[in-house]
Amino acid sequence: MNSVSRFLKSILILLCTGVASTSASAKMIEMADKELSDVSGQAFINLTTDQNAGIDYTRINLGLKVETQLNIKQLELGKYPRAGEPVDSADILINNFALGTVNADDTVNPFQITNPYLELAYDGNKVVGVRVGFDEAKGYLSGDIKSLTGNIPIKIEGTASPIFDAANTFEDVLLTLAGVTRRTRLQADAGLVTQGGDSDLIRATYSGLENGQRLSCSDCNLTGFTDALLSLFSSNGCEVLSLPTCFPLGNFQSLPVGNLNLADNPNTAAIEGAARGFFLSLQTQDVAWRDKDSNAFRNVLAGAFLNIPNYRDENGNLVAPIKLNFEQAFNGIAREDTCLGSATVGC
Amino acid sequence: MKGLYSLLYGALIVFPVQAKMLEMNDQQLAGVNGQGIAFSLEGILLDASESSIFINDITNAAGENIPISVHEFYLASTGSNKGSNLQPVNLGRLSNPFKLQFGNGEDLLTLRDDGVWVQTTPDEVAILELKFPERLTGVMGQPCIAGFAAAGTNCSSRLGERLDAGIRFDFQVAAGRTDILNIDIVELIMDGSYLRLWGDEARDQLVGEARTNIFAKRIDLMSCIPGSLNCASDQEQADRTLSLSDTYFNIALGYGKSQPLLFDVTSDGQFVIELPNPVSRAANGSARSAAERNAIANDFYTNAPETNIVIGNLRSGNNGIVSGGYNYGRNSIEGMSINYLKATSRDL
Repeated sequence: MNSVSRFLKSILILLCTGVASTSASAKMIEMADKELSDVSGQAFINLTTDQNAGIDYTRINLGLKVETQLNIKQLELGKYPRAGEPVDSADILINNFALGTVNADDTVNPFQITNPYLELAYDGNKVVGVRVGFDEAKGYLSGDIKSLTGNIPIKIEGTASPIFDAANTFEDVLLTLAGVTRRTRLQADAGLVTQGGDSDLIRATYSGLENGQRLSCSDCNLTGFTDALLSLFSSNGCEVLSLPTCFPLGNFQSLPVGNLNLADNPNTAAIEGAARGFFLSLQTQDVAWRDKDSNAFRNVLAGAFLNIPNYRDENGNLVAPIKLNFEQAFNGIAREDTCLGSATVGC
Repeated sequence: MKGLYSLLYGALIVFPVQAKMLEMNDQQLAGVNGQGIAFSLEGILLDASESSIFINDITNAAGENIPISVHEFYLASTGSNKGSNLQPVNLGRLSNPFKLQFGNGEDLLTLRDDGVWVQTTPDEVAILELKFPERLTGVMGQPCIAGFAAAGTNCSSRLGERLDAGIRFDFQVAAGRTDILNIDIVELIMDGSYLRLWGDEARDQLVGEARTNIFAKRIDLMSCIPGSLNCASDQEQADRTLSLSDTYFNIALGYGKSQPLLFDVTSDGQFVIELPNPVSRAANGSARSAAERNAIANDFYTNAPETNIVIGNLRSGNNGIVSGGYNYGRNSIEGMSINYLKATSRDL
């Protein structure tokens, strides 16, 4: 009977604590019935509508700030036969998926999310799309990515040193002629591509420079001459000269979403450095969803779709949600620890 | 409601029948602290089609009320044909009843997905448990979803003890525009679900753990009212229906031994739900050694229930892309383990 008594005692303590905490107010003022009737206590949920090109939208918004560190052994969405795609493939397949990371002392760096929502798109009284998204998202997203359908722009930016390391002698000469040194900062835009370098928005297995994409100089002063010469370094067939520019998605095992160098201020409603516009959707047809960052409607293909779009940072600059340096692009990104205890993956 | 009655039985009734009953002395009785009731629900039938139910105070961005009216609410035996043929159903039975009971942490066992019974709650703590009919091991187990072995064959509810349920929500989202969400669920059971609550002395608060198992042969979400414009024929209704076949959810929140589910309310009235990191610090805030952390983590990953969300097949419409339908195939989130979670509500 002792344990029962302890439970009842705990309940009593809880109730007393509640009473004590309310009585700690400077002065309690009785509320009139009319005032009480105005209290509905549901400000964390509302419902909004939208319309575009004959499609009506209804969105259920939840006022929530979520911090989490979790692991999923397998995330698989849209596994069905699709023309031109391998048998038994899925629109999205990620093994050992994880959000957030774990430090050596088993403290966690949570993935942060604000204001999740569920939105439906109606054509008349027929639902043609549904999406789950967040106003803001920030943190590490990890996984063994097998296939992805969606929009995931990646900015590759950094010093040219890893490019020199990967280049042969002739290419070294060309880079030097272009005025590029090991310390020159270069950049390129990457996305989901085929192994041949064509854009691939459906069940992609590679990420890299789309055909025609070229390296550019991000902060040097030799813009005219250097950029003209750098234009020679356009990617074609997943190569710039002999340098590979496309890589299996599985090489990138932990992706930073948002600006992780910018510390969050817990006293502000927003998450500093967060990426905006993150959503996961299903459509029976191509559907235009409103972008949470630009406020414009952007078309999304039928099927399952993961969207992690470009967004405006705190300075108003349009930035990619995922940024890599050239070393990471060439060599991949090692998996961050996402498990407590001795395991690091697959927990 | 045509009929709703339940039979309540003392907890002792569900214990295995003894060959011989022996009287207990006072000392033996003093050591018994499991108290509660076990019950099954017989002849359950809920038909709220004649009722008027409204939900108010969900607002739009301007703060204006969006009334939600509720229709076609029913609970009945399987075979109801989306509520058109309502017959009573028996839920749970004497050998596998619902339970509301107090028990010691050592005594409340949980069936792991690999068929092993494990203790998930702390020792020497009295726990209030609300429990659905249990899952089973061995030959007595029933398919949790008929014809879909992936959902498991360890449920106790037989085919005749499954539920059809439905409800329709009409959202008056804007002037002249009403969104419909018409839900029909076929062969629903929740075997193995539980909610456990207890007082945590170190934290000085009520804590718990919960597992919600939902097994359904089919869930239909239709976006129109049958008989209304473009929603009269079978084809029109099918084209406006999202169908989830062979669907099961195992939602696990909390692992009492090292990661109880915490509930709290902030001083400004917002709610907080938290699953603390099970290893980094003890409940009293003291640090742990690496060896201790590894041991707790091993136990956590071995025995804590995981969350699975599996939709065997998801499709819109029944004629594929040609008629505007789409077959999304299999969709699943399997083996989700939450190391840390903190969700805090905020005003929009």
